[in-house]
Amino acid sequence: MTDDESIRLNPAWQSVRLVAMAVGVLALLLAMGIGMTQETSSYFFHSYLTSFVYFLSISLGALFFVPIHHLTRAGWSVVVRRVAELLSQNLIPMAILFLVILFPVLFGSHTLFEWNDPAKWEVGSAEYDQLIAHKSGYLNSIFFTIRAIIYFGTWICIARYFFLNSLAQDGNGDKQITLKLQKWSSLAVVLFALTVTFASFDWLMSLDPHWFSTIFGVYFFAGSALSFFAFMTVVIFLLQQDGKMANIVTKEHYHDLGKYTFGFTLFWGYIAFSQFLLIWYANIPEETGWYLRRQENGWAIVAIMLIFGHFFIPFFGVMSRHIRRNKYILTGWAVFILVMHYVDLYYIVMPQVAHGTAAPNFGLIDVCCIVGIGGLYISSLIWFATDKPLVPVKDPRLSESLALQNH
Amino acid sequence: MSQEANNTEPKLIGLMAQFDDPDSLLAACEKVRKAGYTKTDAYTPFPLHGIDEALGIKPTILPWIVLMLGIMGGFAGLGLQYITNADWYPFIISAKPVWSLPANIPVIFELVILHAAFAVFIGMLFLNKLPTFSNPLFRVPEFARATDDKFFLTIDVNDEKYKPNKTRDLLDGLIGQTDVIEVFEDPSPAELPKIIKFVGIGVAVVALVPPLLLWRAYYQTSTVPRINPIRDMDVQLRGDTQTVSPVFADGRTMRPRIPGTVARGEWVDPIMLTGIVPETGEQNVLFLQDEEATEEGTKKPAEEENPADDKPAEEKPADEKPEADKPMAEAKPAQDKPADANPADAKPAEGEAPAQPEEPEPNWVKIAPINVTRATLERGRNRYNIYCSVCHGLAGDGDGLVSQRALQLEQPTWIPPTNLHTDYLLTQPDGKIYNTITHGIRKMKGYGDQIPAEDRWAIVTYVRALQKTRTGTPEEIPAVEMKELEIKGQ
Repeated sequence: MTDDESIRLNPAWQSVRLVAMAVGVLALLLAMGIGMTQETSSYFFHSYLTSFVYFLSISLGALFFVPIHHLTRAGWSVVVRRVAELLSQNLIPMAILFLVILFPVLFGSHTLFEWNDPAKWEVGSAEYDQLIAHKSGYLNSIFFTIRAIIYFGTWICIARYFFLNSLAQDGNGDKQITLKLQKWSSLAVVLFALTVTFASFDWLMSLDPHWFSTIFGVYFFAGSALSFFAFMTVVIFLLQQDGKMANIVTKEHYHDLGKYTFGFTLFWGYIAFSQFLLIWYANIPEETGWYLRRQENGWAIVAIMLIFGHFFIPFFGVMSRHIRRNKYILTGWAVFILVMHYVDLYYIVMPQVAHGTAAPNFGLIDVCCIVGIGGLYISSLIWFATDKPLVPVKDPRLSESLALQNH
Repeated sequence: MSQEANNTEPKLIGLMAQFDDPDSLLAACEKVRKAGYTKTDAYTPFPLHGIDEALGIKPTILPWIVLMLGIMGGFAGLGLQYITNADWYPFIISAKPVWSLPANIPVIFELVILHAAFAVFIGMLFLNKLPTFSNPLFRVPEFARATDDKFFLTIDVNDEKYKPNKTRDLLDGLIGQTDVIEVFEDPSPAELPKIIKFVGIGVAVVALVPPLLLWRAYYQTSTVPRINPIRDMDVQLRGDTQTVSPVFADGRTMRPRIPGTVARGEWVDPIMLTGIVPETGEQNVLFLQDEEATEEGTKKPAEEENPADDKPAEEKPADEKPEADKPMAEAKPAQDKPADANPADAKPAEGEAPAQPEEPEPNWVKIAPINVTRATLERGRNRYNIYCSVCHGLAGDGDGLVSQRALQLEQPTWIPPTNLHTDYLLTQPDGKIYNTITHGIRKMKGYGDQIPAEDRWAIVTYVRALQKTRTGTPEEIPAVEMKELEIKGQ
């Protein structure tokens, strides 16, 4: 089965990889070019961060899925696990792409992160901001860099560990590997939870250093997991359209992916509302400012779009069993959810342009950033998938997954 | 009778085929379904994939029931909160509107979940026709192994396709079939034993007694304290009036207002309340506090500071104990009377005059700050006739019945009330008249406690209207009215 062509990527994808890479690099250069010629590069950096976090969150969802799969000894998901493993490998290129954000911060730029402006913490300066000064022990460029290294280091270690062991099992079929991975997955999940929470605080919440939300990490995780399941559905659908995994991934697996999509849609809505309700009810100025900014200057429309587009519509959309078992419709919903996930991140990041005075203004820079990072993301995904079986061929639970039946 | 029933041949209700392995059962199910049978069922020791399709069992409608009840639950939650919070008991919490969706969503969500859960549970029981206490299949000894290692397929005799021999042959011909068993109806009597019926009815009746007693207790008067199983808010820890509070150092249960504050939501335009155009913000607050103090009947310490209060301040002591002092007050007014009669002299004579040098006349409102309509005037007349006319007379000439009687009795201390048509009053600003009604003047008591501010202004406008009856010119009468008058005159 290892040599079966039906579980290996078509060579034709290699040209796609090159095209995607070329388009990605060009688009990013174009975005940078436009961004830098503008009066402030604030818009470019925010837009870049939005797209960066968008693709990062998909890979983080994958990084969550793989250990959870081992931790719960899941049987159904063996056939789709390799795709998740491949997606989590993309954390490596994401670490490189993060340098575009990290270097300016390290060298003192504060277009993106207001707290990096030394005038904000200098007592007596006109710009002095007591709260930022108070937080400067945590929010400073050096510690920020150290944390970013820790996050990416942890993620890449987890991703590589699970991926390489899984590949090793493809070769020798050692059942002990499954047990070993199960043992380490508990630690991986804990590390994942901590790093993702703090990474979301660092990269998204600290855009507005005056804002506090203890649930923000969970909110970001909910969107990540949801977009990951949607993205994996699309990837598997495309692979099947290409004739791969034809009899391996059945509608039963789509059904399960759909269940996850449904569940995380509700989870996202639940968390997003939990965050909003507490802030709305308590009505504490340092918390409500963030939402206030997102209800003015035309952002209210985006907020309403999220309520319906990110929750109500997909919630009822993927509620039915019949839809979840139809891969064409389910993939359609997955694409819709992926679009809404971008809107969600756009809503989190972009109102902070120029430190919170911007109106929604989706334009060429945003498109270039999505295409740019997306192109590189896809190209590296193909690169990781080349010459590797698309399912873990000697996993002891593979037969269970192949024979999956939903009740 | 029962002997006979047992002797009769029990009624056949179905045929049951037994299998040793699940694959044969699945194949048999396919075959039976293809033969057109619909009233069939299969029994297996464990869930068998594909059995639904093989038997042609339609997908359950349970999800629809759950969805519908979930949506209903959502609307129930919404409606419950709307009715209770926004309609029956509008209560502002955390300065949120009484009807605000974000606060209601958790309850809506929980009720959706609750209803959906009930729908799943009850709907499942209902769709499975549960609870069923017995099934004829249980009487077949072989059937016990359906929970162990055998697989069964049944065909009901009521099936349209059922033909005694043909069906039997079909089952006999199934591959892997090890036995075909006839299932008979349970011949034992289906009715409940009479004793259970009586006990059941008895228990039901007894169970009704406590709620009936409760109901009776709630709707009847009684000389003994009532038993109160659902206490609601009947008994609560609260500070009643005229009791000493152990919580506060001063022992008061009613907390006095903090000086220099006005309660939220009690802001009313001070002009409306005092008839004085305030010059500073502090004055505003003082006016309001003073107004509040007057209305509550409590004494305001800040009163003396109020420049507008110079006059009423004299009258205040009388206000404080109105009931007891009334006869006194009526008896007393003597010395001011002449002053009132000649309003021109009145002012200097009035005791207000000495105050004038130190406290300039407040900035009275020239024209009543209310919207004057016909209804206002009607209201003013009504209130005037109730409160003012007894002394001032229905036409404002100062010849009210009380006054007439007092003069008749030649009460030595009686001062006839002011004639409202004197120049003194004609030139007074509205605000001052209003102030006089509120706080009283000389021997007239203040009516601030009794008459709401709106009504006091209505009285002022009515007094103005009364004055117009003497000072008005024919040109001021609207043409339409004039015409009417002419017609009447003719």
